[in-house]
Amino acid sequence: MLIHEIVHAYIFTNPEVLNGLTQHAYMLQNYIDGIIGSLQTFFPSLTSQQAASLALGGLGDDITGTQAFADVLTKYGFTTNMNSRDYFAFYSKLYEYGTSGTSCK
Amino acid sequence: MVTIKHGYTFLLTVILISNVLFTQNVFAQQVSSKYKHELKKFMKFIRNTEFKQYDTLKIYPYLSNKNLFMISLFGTGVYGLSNEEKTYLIKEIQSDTAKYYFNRHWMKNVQFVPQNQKDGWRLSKPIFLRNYLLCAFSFATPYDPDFASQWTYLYKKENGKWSRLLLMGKILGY
Repeated sequence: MLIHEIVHAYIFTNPEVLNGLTQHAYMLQNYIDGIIGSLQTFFPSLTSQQAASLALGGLGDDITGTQAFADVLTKYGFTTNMNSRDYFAFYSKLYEYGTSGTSCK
Repeated sequence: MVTIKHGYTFLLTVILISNVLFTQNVFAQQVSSKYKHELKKFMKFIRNTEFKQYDTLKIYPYLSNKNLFMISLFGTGVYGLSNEEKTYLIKEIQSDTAKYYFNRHWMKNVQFVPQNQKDGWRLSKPIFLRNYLLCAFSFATPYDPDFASQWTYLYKKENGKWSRLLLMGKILGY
């Protein structure tokens, strides 16, 4: 999530990069691979799918229903059925609820 | 003789159809009035809790399940529900996408936002379970290009009063 906010900070100081896109749409288009790579560098035990799930988290309700988001889900091996266990948010929820990962102290 | 026989057949058919229509209509009204009654009480509760910080609540003029209840049908969000109840929820969420137009008596201090604008809260239809003792309800923030979020909760009614039971799902934009 910190990486996500760093990208926001970058966009806020360079708004011209958006070229008409919203910040999250721009992030979806350009930064998901980068965030996945960063996460796996910091946490080598993360699988690509787990890292992708975390990278896609926080993009919000306005974008999760779009075709661009559906395409990205397919690219990373997730289903587009938002009520399936193979939906991206299921993996990120495991971290959110402390079922996976190491809880903050 | 043939005419009389046809007359009886016609009369019986009319009686039969009337009977079926009347019975169904009465049943529909009973279900509908009970739902409307519980809906009004529930929406009042939602206005006074989830949206209590808003002096005026800007919402769309209808309730709809479309694009709401995201990620609410698995994991801890359905803890305690039977498979039949989960199946019922899936059916209501995925099949019932018709708009149910808002009645001003449901909530105080609301302002309806035209459907072509994006600055209103989106509210789902309340989905009642266990004879109106549980309710699944979902709502999403006014459209924001970057930070739109939505929440789905399960609520319970005890001694006639609603309260939050558990978080079923949320999608946060940050």
